[in-house]
Amino acid sequence: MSNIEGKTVMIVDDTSFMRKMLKVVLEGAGCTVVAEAGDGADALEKYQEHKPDFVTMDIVMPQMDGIASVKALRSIDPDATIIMVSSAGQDSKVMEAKEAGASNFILKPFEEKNVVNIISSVFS
Amino acid sequence: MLKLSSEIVNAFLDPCISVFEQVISTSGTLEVNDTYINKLKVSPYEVSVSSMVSGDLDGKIVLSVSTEMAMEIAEQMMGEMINSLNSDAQSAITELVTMIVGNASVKLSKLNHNIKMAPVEFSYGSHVEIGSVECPYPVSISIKSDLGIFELDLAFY
Repeated sequence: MSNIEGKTVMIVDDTSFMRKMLKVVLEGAGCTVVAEAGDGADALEKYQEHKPDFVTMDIVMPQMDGIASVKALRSIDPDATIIMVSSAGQDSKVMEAKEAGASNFILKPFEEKNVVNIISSVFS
Repeated sequence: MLKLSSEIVNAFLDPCISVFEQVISTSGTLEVNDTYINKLKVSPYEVSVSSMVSGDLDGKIVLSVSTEMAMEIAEQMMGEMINSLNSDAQSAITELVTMIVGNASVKLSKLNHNIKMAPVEFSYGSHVEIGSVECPYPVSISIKSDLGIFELDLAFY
């Protein structure tokens, strides 16, 4: 049993495939997916409506990218827990995400156990 | 602006092969079938997934596959059979290319080259333009896998 069991999550990614993949992984770890968003603007709206325990956030997205979305979410809720899930994991991007307020970074493609371990580490 | 070199080509080719092998377990070991200057300047297959990049490299990366192979890739990624390249299948293949270009950006950053990628676009049925006035000689890499042959095109200005 992981320490993320029972937590609510919002998945933000512009591809429906990745949202489904993450949903399967996170629900398998006992989380409840309360919202999904395809871009940053949609994420902001749904975050305020659902107030999830944590958010998984892609970086490359149309409208508002993941870094801008992290900044915007943290301005609404300074305690928001946001974990980046992106294939663009160069050091500068990871640093930028963390400076914006992201708690951790998961590089795509990922293994299921790594996703759960990395998110669990944020809550430990 | 960077010139296209073997170092740059490999920064895209290596992630293409590694992501493919990691995500699609039945693809077997991938190998380069051919590398050439794309005189046709359009994608050779009917499914094309492209990503624009900017920064130290400006241009376009295109993954081009046949419909049959695209469906097999999508089935592998989704873990279910499909009858057509529906929106879920398109999304899966789009994500594959996002991972390839994203991982390439990581590799390039280790060579002190920084690129920014735009959201990936899926095209079906028409052969997308790869070359342009700004990039008259894009490099095309034909790659062989157990699922078939596909092409990775690199067109930088």
